[in-house]
Amino acid sequence: MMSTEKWRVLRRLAAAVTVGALAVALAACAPGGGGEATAAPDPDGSLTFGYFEPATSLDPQQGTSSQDIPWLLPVYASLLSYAADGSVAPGLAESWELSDDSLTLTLREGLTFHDGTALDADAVVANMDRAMTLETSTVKGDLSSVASVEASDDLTVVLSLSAPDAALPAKLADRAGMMISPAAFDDGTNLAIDPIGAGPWQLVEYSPGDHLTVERFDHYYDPESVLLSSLTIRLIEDDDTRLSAVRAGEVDVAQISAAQVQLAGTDPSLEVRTDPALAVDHLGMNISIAPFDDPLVREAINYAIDREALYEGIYRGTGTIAWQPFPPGYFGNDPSLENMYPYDPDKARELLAEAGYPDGFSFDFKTNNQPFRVQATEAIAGMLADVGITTNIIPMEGPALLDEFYYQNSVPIYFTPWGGRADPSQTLDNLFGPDGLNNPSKVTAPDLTSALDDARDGGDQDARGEAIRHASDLIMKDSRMIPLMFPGVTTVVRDNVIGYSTGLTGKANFLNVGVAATS
Amino acid sequence: MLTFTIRRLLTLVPQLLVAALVVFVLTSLLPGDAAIARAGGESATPELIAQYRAQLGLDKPLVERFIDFVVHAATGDLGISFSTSEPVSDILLRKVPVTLSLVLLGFIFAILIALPLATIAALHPRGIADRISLAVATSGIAIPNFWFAILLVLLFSLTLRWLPATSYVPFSTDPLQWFLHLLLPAITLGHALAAELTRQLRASLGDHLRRDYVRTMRSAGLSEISVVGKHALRSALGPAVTTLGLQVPIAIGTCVVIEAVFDLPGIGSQMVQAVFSRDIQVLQGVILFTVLLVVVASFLTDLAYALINPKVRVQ
Amino acid sequence: MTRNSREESAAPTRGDALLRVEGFSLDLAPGREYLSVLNDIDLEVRSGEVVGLVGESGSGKSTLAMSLMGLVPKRISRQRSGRILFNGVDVTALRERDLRAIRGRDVGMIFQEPMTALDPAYRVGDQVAEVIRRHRGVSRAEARAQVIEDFRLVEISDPERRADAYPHELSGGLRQRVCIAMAIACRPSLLIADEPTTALDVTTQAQILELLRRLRAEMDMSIVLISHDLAVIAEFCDRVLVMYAGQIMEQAMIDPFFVRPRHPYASALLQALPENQPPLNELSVLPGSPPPLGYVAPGCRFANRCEFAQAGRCDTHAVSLSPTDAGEVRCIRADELVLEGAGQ
Ligand SMILES: Nc1ncnc2c1ncn2[C@@H]1O[C@H](COP(=O)(O)OP(=O)(O)OP(=O)(O)O)[C@@H](O)[C@H]1O
Ligand SMILES: [Mg+2]
Repeated sequence: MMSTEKWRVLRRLAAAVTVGALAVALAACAPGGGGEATAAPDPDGSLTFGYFEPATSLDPQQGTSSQDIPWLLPVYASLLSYAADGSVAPGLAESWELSDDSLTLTLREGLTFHDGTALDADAVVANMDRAMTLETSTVKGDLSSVASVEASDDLTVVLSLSAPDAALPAKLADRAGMMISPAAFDDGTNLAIDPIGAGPWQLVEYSPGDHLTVERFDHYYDPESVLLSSLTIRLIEDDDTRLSAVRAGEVDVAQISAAQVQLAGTDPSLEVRTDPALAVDHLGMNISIAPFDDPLVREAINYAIDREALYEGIYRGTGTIAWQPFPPGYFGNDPSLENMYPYDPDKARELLAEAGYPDGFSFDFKTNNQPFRVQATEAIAGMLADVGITTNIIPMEGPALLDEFYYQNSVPIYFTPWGGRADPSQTLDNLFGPDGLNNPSKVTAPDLTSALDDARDGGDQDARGEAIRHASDLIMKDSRMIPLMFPGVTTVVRDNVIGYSTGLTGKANFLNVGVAATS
Repeated sequence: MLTFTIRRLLTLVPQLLVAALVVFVLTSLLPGDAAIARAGGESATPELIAQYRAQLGLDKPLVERFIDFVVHAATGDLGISFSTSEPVSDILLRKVPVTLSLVLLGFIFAILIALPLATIAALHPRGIADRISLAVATSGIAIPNFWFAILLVLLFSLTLRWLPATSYVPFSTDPLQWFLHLLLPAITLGHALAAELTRQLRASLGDHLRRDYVRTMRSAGLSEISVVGKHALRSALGPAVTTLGLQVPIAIGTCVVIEAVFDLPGIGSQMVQAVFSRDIQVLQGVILFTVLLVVVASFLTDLAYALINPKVRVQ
Repeated sequence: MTRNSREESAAPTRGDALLRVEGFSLDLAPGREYLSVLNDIDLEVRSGEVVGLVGESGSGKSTLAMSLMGLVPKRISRQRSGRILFNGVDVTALRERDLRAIRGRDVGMIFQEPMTALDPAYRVGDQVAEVIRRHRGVSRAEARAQVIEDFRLVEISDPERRADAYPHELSGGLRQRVCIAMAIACRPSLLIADEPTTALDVTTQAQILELLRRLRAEMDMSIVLISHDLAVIAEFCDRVLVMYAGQIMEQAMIDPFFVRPRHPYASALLQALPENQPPLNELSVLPGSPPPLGYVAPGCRFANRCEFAQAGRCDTHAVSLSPTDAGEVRCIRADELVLEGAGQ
């Protein structure tokens, strides 16, 4: 299957050349798109969204990939939701109250699932029980602080906590809070392909690995926000094909890669937008492996990386340079960390000498063999070589690389995208906590551990912000992270689409999106 | 002819068994592990991975898994997809028609391209037609398929807006749309396959046109259409049919590329997905199907060859 | 070129001349260049006559035979001069369509290699039937009946079963009979047989020749028989034409020819013919070898191998055909020489 990758790289090159050359010529003859749509949304409108990864499962409690979310969002409503700025807002529950030992949710009245089953406190309890007890539940971890769940009346659910958990509401706005019709639990329905939720749209047809078609659910709790009568999500894995599909009008909205921005921009019927998001590309590290266990070495690497060059060369001028775990504008972002390690190869060499590597050192620089990651790795390897750190780049298939990083502890450092998490503590704990899944070294520092605890325990938004900023300071001071870029989400939108944008979570959102009525 | 068919059919059984073994061993040797992928990759916990290992039967010895695999496969049960929990046979039922449609139309286009080109070229060696056919044949090999596909999309979908750029419509839903959606992909495949076919057919037709029996037919006053079309071409098709048969695996490989470019939900794209998600169960099913297709194709090739060449039948 | 047939050709052809070739020259292009292969060929075949054509390998016999029905591909050939009159019609001036109508209907051809002369993919009966239907436009069933009848005529036993056989299922002799059946299916007035027996064993050879003899008598066909084998020619033909390097060297009635050939080359051929010996395949008894294809000698083409050649006479001017008692000869010393024939 290596050849598959090879042709991908090859075709990328060839496609860039061909498409680049022809785009200019063809842009002139392409039928004019003609400006923004001004009409009101069509009540019978339908929209097709092109997405690049298949869902692992349409059962929100058993899916294993964060890329499942766009496939789940149309069908499932969550107990809580995110506001546009990333903060937690009401969902199926119209209000909530968090204390150190409980979270009390008050449901809206008269909610039902697509199959007509009532969505009441008992249904929520059934969902929570399944989420916490199912052997293969993938949201179990999100709910680890929940000791028990009880319905105190038809509309009130009380989650008793075994430990304070400030992130719990955010998690309930995400996958863990997606409610499945309990009627489907026992009757043999294969929820992986036959989802039944209470979301704004209900299933019409699902062809795994191909497309999902849903239609408006008339009993959704916020009908005003459902402008589309039907919605189709199509899996189109190939970047160029996805863009072609949008340009041909077969798809209305699709995420594209940075490399395609220029070409997409030549088509007047398309809007190209990059919305900020929590995802951060960085160098994932195992800081138990020498010499990366030495903060001086890590600091040297932070100085050795020319992020401007990456921004221009690899990210094609999209996204935002990253100096810390959270992007500017987010409440956990610390402005004082911005530009903390400006590009300074001399300084990097000094630090290496100080760490005992005046002539640098060398290591195997493994990477996922996706073309973009290989390119980024190559660019970074070049920068490291400038300061004396020579590398041997080894492209590998994703699962094999992860196996080596997480379980063999044999990968010191590799280019990796972090998808972001609902709650900032989830990101911090995962990447830097003593039990962090994405911290294979499990190495931490006492002050950092307590800072992470503070961030989790939080209190109000301001206090939590303060604690998160403090944790970020500690992380960056020791260069426990080598952040590179917040890539954001780049989307092409056809001019008949009204109101599309990507939220801070980076996931596609179809509420309040419509299409203009065609005359 | 009947005994020939039956004898040939019987040889399929060991072929398929060996194929099954190879498929099984190869897929089991893939680095990485379905359980890790299933448990969430970058955010998987060891406990969850162990759970999935047990659930997916990955903790059993390899031999036991192979026997399970063959016994179940023989009864049409190819297991459950590790990643979507869908029966693999359902997945195949959904995706096989797409790839089969593509391959079938691709071969038809290959023949539509190759037959006239090769015939004209063989009738006028070193003439203009011969050069054109050589150029076309070479382009099929020299131009990468995706590049050709992108050119087609750019021209026919994005600029002229005559044909869809992506996706598939089942024949049962709308035969016309089925055809239109497959047109560009099939031309891409046909173009790729026509190269070798044209070369082969031109050579073998040229050879047959020099044979004595052609002289006999001409001296008896038969028309060129009959001499070339009915007599020379028929025998010349023998080696060409063999070439076609040998190209079935190549065609399926090419489908991986073409299905990606045109976003066709076929076996090729399924194979790539299965590899990346380490969905061994699906991968085994897909490859087994592919092998079956290749084996059946070679069977049909032999049958066609025997129809064309009466000598083969008695041997 | 001075031969009187030149002048005659303006006049209407004699009623009994079925085929008449006049001053026909043809170049072939095996590579890029055209080379002369047939040079100033004159010949005549009368109704009911059997004419033999002999000559060394490469002398142009087959090319001439193919030319008679316009079967030499135009792509690689160029006619330099002459015409070929069949039933008074110039074949070289006919369109391909009209030629096709004559081939197989008025003129049948059989070739040397029965093993490969039939399409291996079709039943032999169907192949013969196709020719019948092509020229007669009869129904399938009628054609089939005719095939069976013709198979009987060419002495194929069990014709119904044999008609359904594929060529590879038949012996060489049977296949040649099928070829003959195909060639005579439309009762042609001329049969061109290019070494029809060379590839067969001696017994079969004799049978096939006997068959041809019988058919000729029954159907009143003219035959042009090409052969290496002078014994066959002697037994079978009324007249003989001797070809050398693309030219007719001598043309004579069969009996005088064998007793007293007029051309040194013909004489050499006859002397090399031991009684009851295998056919004269190599003609190796002649010293030297024929000129390479396309080579044009200033004088007689045979001069360099001729024991009677005289320098300054034979190798200076091209030699033309001159009449003899029994036919024509292309030798300036013909009248001076008394040459030996076959045997004693
Ligand atoms: N299709 C062709 N292309 C080029 N050259 C040819 C072709 N056919 C015949 N020749 C050449 O023309 C010459 C005459 O050939 P032809 O076959 O007529 O001789 P032949 O007398 O029939 O010989 P043989 O006794 O071997 O059958 C030979 O030198 C041969 O190489
Ligand atoms: Mg010959």
